[in-house]
Amino acid sequence: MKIMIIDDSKTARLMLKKALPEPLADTAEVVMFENGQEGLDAYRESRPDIVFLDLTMPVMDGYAFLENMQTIDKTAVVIVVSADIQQSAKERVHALGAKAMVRKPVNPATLKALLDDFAPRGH
Amino acid sequence: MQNRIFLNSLNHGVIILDTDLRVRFWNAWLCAYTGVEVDPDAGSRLDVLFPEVDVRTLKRKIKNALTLKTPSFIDASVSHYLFKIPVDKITYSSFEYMQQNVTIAPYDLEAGLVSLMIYDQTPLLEMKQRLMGFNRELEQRVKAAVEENRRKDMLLQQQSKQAAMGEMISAIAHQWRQPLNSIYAIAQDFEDAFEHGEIDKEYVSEISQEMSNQIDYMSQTIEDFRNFFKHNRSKVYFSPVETVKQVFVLLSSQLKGSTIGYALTNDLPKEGKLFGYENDLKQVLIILINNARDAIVAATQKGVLSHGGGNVSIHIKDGENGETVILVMDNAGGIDPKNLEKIFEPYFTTKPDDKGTGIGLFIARRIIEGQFDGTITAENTADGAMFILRLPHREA
Amino acid sequence: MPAELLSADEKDALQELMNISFGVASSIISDSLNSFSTMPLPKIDAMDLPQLEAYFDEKFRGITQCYIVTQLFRNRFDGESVFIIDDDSAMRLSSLLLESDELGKEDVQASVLEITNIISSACIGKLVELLDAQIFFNPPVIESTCHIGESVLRLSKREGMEFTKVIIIETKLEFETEQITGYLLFLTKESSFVWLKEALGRFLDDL
Repeated sequence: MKIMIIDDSKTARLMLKKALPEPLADTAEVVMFENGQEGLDAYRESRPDIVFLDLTMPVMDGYAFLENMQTIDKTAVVIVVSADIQQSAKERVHALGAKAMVRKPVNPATLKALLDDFAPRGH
Repeated sequence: MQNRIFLNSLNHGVIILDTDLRVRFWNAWLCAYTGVEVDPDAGSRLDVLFPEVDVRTLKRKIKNALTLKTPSFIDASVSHYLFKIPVDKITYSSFEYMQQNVTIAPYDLEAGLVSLMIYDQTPLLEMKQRLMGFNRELEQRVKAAVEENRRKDMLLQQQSKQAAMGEMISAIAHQWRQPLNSIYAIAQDFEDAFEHGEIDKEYVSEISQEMSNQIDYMSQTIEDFRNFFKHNRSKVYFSPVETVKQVFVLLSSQLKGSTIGYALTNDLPKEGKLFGYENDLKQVLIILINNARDAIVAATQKGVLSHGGGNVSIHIKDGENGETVILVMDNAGGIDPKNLEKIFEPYFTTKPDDKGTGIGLFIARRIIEGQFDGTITAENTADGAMFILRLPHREA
Repeated sequence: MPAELLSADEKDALQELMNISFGVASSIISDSLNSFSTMPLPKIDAMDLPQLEAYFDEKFRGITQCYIVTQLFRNRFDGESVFIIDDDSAMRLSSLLLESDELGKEDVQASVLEITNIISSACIGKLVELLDAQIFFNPPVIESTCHIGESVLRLSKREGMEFTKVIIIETKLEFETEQITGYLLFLTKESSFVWLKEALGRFLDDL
């Protein structure tokens, strides 16, 4: 199972990684990037099973990442993780192909449910 | 169970509620104050027991308390109460219902329960209301006092203007007496001359010249007073010595008419300059000199002072702190020591009713203190009264 | 500057935790008011107590009629929230919260108190909760409904105060569609900031 986390905050990346349910926390391969561009470059290479994506980031933000993703891999499983969830943002990311949008901080139960729903082949 | 005993011993209300407002616990204090007993198993809703409960607001506050895991509050001073508990007092209360502070705290997050602590704030708010009442009353009294002062002030200002006008008119009358007499004499002479056939060109030109002189003098007098009254509301540098001289000129006829002598002595090391409204200082000097004149006239009438022995003298010198000092002295026997303190108060006068309004010295003090940042004091010398004006030097 | 007191990692952690707390705050307010609100990430500043008055004056010069609400929070993270909202904004805020246009003065005051409590609880309460600590809140109090004259707030003038610097966390509450603006300040003492640094350190160690 390969999990990609894209967030400009190191704390945010680590918090999400820490919330991974057992036994995934030990078995999954977690790769982390600071902005959309880095994530996109890595995605082309390694095709992770699921991507957790922050919205506000320098260089390339979450929306641009999603737009680019449309041309790279329409079936990609991208979950948007944000502190501020407004209806308009929700509609926009869904239109851009995101599978779900969840509020920070993501707790282990929510994370497990998301993984079960969208990336079941990992476990 | 221990918990229950504790909660029932508290001196405030405790309710445990679920998110549908069903009462899960109702402590003894609430039973006593509301007279309502609640069976926690009956599932009674608070808004059914007390229809006045604002359901929407309460539910929102409960939801926020549970979501944020911190208390919500209801403030007695703005929301008054959660539900009605009549204030059952024999003595007077300004509130019909108990004023309640309520703290809505999360109690059991999983079960969705909150605790409501209800604190009686009625005595506190009554005290607050009473204080506010006192404050309002105090404010009104202060306002009334300020208004009254303003009114008195305006009255004083008006009276001071009238007083100044009165002084002027009487000064002008004195100044004119002599030229009027001369013109009258000329008119008499003119008639005589006509009867005696003495009118020739030379005579006409002589009396015409004489009349012109007298009329010029009268116009000049009017002009002088008009200048004085024309309040030049800009501050200027002026010489106090010149000011005193001009005032003596204005009042010369009056003083001479009462056979009062007057003198100015100047001890300023160099030409002194003051900065301010010169006419205001003139007004003060006129008040002081006229007071001296009145005192001298009264003393003469009483025989304390010999006829023609009255004197007003003004002395100008430097003060110890670099200020200009003007002393206005008379020899009319002085001011009764018990009145010395009071003479600057408005409406205080020792003169007979038709003579004084009692505002002259009050105005003098207001001008000296207000316009010149100076002081005016009075004391008695061996011969009479002495007014001391201390006028600090100021820059433009 | 307090930011300089923090390491790069601690700063990143504080920013992320505040991001989360303020997100919670704005979403609860949006929920309660049925209108989208935003709270930009706060600015953090430190200043000496005497400077604070000038800071307030400068900050709120334009506001003439307003409500000032304060709320104390106590424990290892000690301080006060200050919510400042002009009369018109308060009125609009209240009519959204109470879904009514016929509001008395007391309704508006109750609304302003409630919003202050939500913001304090969400921003400060959540931040402290994320750091695995507990905090207690006093009920909010309306300090004044006033003309802002020479000074917005009367500051403590106690002799021998045990702190010299005040840490200010400042943000703004705004709404997408409504003309509502409120200013939000969290004032804490230096000692609280020291605790915050330690707590952030522990939090990072746990990740």
